[in-house]
Amino acid sequence: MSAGMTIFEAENVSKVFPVGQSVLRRLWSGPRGAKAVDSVTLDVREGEILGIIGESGSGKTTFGFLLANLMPITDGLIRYRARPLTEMTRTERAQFRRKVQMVFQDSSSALNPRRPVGKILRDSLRLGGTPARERDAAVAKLLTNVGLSPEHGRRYPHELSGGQRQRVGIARALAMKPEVIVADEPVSALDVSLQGQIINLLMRLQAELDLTIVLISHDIAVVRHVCHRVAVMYGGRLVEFGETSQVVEQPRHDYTKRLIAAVPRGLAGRKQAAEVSLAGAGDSG
Amino acid sequence: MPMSAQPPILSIENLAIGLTSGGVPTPIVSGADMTIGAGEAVGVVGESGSGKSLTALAIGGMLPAPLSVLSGRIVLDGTEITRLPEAAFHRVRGVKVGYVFQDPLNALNPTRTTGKHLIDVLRRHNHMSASEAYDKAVAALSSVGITQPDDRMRAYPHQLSGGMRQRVLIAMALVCNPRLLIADEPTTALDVTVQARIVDLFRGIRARGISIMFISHNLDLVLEFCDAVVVMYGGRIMEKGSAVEIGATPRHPYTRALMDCIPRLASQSRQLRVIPGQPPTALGKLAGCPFAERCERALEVCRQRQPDMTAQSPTHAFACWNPAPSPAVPS
Repeated sequence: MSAGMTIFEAENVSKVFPVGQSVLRRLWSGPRGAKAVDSVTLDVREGEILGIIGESGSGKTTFGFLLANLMPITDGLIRYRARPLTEMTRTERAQFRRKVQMVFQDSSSALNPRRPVGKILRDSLRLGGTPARERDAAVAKLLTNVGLSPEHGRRYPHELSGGQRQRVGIARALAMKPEVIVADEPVSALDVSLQGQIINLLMRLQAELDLTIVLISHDIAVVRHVCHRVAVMYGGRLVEFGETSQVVEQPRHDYTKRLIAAVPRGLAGRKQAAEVSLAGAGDSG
Repeated sequence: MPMSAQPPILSIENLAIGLTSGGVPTPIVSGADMTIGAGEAVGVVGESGSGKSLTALAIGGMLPAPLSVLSGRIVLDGTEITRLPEAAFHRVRGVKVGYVFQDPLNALNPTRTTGKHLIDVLRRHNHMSASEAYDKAVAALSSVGITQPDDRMRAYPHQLSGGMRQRVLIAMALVCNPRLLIADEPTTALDVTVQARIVDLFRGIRARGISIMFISHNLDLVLEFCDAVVVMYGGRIMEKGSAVEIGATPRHPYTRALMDCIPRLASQSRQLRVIPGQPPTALGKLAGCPFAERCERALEVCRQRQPDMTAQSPTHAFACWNPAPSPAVPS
């Protein structure tokens, strides 16, 4: 693992979504409203898998969008390879778009339902600069690389299972030959039994292609397996950030502790649960 | 243990669900046998397409159009309800059995307030005045842990968080005091921390004597609070037993695979264990065990003949030709 150079630096990044304000008022008194991301400072190292965890509304998805430059930041600064996102020229931005790819949670709405998988991938290959005559072979290679067969290229998204669609989402990201993949809850819509397949796929690709992956998730158990470092967000703020083993074994923030306690533990969680519910019954009389 | 001399709240006997085309029945679920005792929580576990949701829908007479109950019996609270006419199901659904579905946003009408939802259910099934129904609805909301229930009565679904919406649905399912609550993946769309609180709510509901059928694909979650577990795959029951039996000594390779693939905090390994391949699609399964293709213990016979249920104890049984050795050695 060549966890070395810093690929992303976020400094005091904030994102405010204006709520119920007219344009004039916004110009007059500056943006106010829901602060989705609040002064987050963190770095992403080249070649690592960084986890960002938190519950819905914690700002983790918004932060992922900010990293991928899919929305403007309100305050602060994000640098990609030491270059501030806001200062990039047109060409640099176009390049950045190829180098930083997203994989979304809901694979059924992230893929055009009217185009077969092969065409979806060809589009991305074309935009990624693969010459026309190499695209067919490249589609087949992409599909094989994510554990599908070239035959899947003829199918429409609705003809695939959720797990297969998520593989297509990953293949589409890979078509751009990216350096970074920001994966927003890539497995939370899948059965537990299929989550492992997708996570293991991401890990294999990361190692084979020297990718950097930012994995956004609400499941600390998944993050525990996969990520080198983990950032815990709560209410828009970064409340804990460090090596995964450190954060999981010695959580410092209350929210991290709650996240860890909430993971179902099967029979092991049962005795404890019985104690809890007995205590509860006692309280209510 | 609530499994006593009392008759069970729900008993399903040799149930087959499927479609009939040209007079030929094609089962999608078959041989489903399970009972749920009074105040008992039974977890039904399996991947998508295992038939767990269809079984749940059959109980309320809600199977989608071409599908129907082909054979077998469903007895709810002492009454056989297998082939009730649709009109008669109105006195079962919501009254004797309440349903909670996975996606609370789709299950609520976006143009109606929480209060309207609850009052509709109450007045549909009971003769009561509007104000009586209102009071009952407020009480139902506070009984599922919703604070400021009076304010929440006026809230529209989009104004509530995911966990809160799920609580509203649970309140709707319970408002007519059913004997059985069927929850189909009630926490799958929720955050882990919210999930833990909803599961606590289910514990409280069971403590009030209401039986629960809890459908999930996460075996660890089910083992945490259910009394008994039924593991389904490819439309058949693979293994069933008390939670302790299933959790401590699972015999069916599928049960063990389901257990192994859950990401766990304690684990040091970076690779996640997986079940290779895909769950089978509904049709086209004939001879043999549906899990044979993905099973690491599969023998020749597994692809040829369907295994019968083998009893391990009075409560524990599994359908497998080559079960994992017992007692299970933790891998």
